[in-house]
Amino acid sequence: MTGDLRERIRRAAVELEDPGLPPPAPRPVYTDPLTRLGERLVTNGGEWHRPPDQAAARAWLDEFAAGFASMTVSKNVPASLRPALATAPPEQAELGIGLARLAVAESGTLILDSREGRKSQLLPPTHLIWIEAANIVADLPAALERLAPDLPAALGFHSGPSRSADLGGITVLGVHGPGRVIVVLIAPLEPL
Amino acid sequence: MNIEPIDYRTAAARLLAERPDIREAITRATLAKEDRRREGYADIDSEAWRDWASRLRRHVLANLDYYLEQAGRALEANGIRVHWAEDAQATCATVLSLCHERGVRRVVKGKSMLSEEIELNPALEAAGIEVTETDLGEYLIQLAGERPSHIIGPAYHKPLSESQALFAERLGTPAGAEPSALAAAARKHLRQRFLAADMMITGANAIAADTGTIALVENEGNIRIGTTTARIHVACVGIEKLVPRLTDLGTLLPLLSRAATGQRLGNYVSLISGPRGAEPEGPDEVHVIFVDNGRSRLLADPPAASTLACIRCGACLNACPVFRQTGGHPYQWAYSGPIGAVLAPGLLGLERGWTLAQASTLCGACDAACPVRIPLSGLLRLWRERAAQAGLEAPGEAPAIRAYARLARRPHRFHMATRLLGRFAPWFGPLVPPLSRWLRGRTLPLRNRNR
Repeated sequence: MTGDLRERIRRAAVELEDPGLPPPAPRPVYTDPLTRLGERLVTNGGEWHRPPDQAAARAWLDEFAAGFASMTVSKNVPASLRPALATAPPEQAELGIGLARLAVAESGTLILDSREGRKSQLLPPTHLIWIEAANIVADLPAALERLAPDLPAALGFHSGPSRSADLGGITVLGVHGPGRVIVVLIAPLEPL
Repeated sequence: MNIEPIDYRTAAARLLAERPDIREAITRATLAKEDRRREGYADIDSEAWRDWASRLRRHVLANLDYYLEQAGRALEANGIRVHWAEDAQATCATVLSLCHERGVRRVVKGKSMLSEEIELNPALEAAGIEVTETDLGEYLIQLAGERPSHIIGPAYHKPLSESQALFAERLGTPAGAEPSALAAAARKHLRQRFLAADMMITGANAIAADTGTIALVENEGNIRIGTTTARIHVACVGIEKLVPRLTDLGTLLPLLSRAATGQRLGNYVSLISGPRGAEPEGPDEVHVIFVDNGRSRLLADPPAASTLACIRCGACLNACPVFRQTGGHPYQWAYSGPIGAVLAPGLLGLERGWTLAQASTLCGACDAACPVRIPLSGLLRLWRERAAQAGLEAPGEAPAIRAYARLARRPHRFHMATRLLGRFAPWFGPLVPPLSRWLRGRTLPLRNRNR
């Protein structure tokens, strides 16, 4: 900052009343964040699946993937959660598959880390996101507290399909990002 | 500096006479968003959240030098280059020199009101750089050669039929195509622009001073994609847009989203804390340009400084019965509605901006909507008083108010005068200035014969 600007701002700021940092704003308490996450995501236009076990998840995946010709998969997704599909660059793939770092129940939000690669999160028209139950938190401040010690170049918070109401006020999906977002809950994964 | 007053009245009157469809589109869009905001406020303790946000933003303004220094250091530590720009011209020059030094030919943009404020697009285009707006609404009005009519919904004024005609002409979509078909055509076209872009330019909804993180909120994914595919990301940020801690975003961004569109959180949030470094994808360089452009002068004006608490949600525009009639175009600069009317004299100077503070009924609907509790109606009155003290009022206003004051102190004469005026003003009023001027936008009530 130039000394001149700093001095000007300092002189102005000192004249203003400082109420101090506020204590946290009150938040509703969610007793069942996992169910809340699913409800909110569906409200936002996303799809939510909660298979009873790993085998059921795998069976669901194979059936789901049969509808696509190609995929791009984040390196954080273990082999057991990759379908038998041809891979393609994110620019061409029909399906992107990733693993969320965290999920926020109150807004139905999946938090994606750029270290898994960003294009697979954004460019394919359909995005499948796996989330472990242990990584679901109740609200956004709690999520940010967990993220703060280890921030990647970019975190993406995705709360549903890409949307716009800029065309005559009518909502359309899949404007730039994925028009279809599917989130599937999984049991804890083995470390990679 | 241009000190010619913004001629809001003439522009608004012309728009109302010539474009009833714009009035209809804006009224529909803003009333819908106003309903959504109420719903969004209803499922939180919105009074407590607004108190929290008001206090947070005022704390930041009272310590702005401290948080700017902290943010500057934290951003640099993350490998983000930080620039400081005194005014619009210096900001454009900084962006242009980055373009020249790095061989940038193609720029994509996320929606940024600051870039409208500093008129960045014309500056880039004059230097031969291709600029593409990627927010669907901004893209529409760029194609149409217009300006945004709303902070959040730049194309709220555009009826669907106009967008259909525009896309048919420019992107070859069939006449009368469905909105989903128009969006698909835009997606295809803009995807190519994203993949070919050298630089992505955005604003910022906030910067967290403790971690040096840029926060961007959107619904379409264009900001996420542009900050992924371009090799350089430049964020132009007003010096006031700081929060002390990353965790503050946990309440501020949901409140912003609720105020703007009623959403619990914007569909996409990007938290950017550096260039890609060793990561597989993302920009090689990230730059933040902190822009003053009149803000430090407004900060030095304690009665008006709370204007800088604004988080640009657009809720006051949606709540305003005056804005709702015309949208933002008659305000003739980046910011419109109540916040635009109090920012204009603050940032552009009293001489140029005072007329916008007249575009209000002082009803206070904006005060009730504002998520950071800016006393908008009080500030509108403050700027009106300052304009009057500086002799900048409408002709005839002061004598008329003095005459009214004399009458209002004498109840008998007051009632006689109103009876007479009520009977005869509809006939002679339109002929006698200043009454004729006052009556141009008003209709006197018809006399009730039964009373």
